[in-house]
Amino acid sequence: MSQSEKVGKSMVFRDQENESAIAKPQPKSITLRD
Amino acid sequence: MPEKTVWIARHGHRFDFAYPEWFLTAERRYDPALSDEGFVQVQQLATRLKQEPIDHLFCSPFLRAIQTAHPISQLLELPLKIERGLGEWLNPDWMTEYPQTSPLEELTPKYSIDQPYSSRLIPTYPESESAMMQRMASIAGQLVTEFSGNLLLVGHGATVGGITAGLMGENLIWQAPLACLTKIVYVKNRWKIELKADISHLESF
Repeated sequence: MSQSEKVGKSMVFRDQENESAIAKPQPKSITLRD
Repeated sequence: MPEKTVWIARHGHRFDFAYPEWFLTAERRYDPALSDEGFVQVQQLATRLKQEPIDHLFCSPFLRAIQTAHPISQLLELPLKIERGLGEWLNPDWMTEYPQTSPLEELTPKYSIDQPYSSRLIPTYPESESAMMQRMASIAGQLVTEFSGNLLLVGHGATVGGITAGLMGENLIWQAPLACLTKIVYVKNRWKIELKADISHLESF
């Protein structure tokens, strides 16, 4: 598996601070700390 | 193996994402509870599953997953089997040390825990991507083989992706929203995805 695929999977599986209830507006910036 | 359904759910919205400063003083900083929003989400998830024939309820040891599984446990009258093999990816880029979780003596007064059950798989920190995917495939295989009937596994984004990939035998990766539900059935000697990270049970509020 390539490095880019690994980074992609880490991004997909990580909890994100901007995740919220559906139908809520997305914040302007995304912070990635878990 | 007889026909079987495996449900996989991801936890609801995290308290520390509503209040990021919590992380700075928390006793177990990688083990936040659900936020108020998260508790609403998981109640809706439990209502969705209320009529489903589920025989065993397994849960990651992280508090947000236990709190996600709790209303399901109450509605279905099933005890929680705490399975560390379903826990969060111990990714060193995400956490600087092994994440501490609530001890059993803190959990048992609040939640219906299947105390005789002990985890079949214990992950180690730090955990590479391949080790995590292998762990999820291993625990999926172990649980579907050992436990008859239909299973519900409650965990994290990595749990949804890793368990699905493990059962399907493919590297299927997709975004799993909070409190989403995946349904995989074993019928005619093969696994089939019937529901993919579904959130139709969630209502906006």
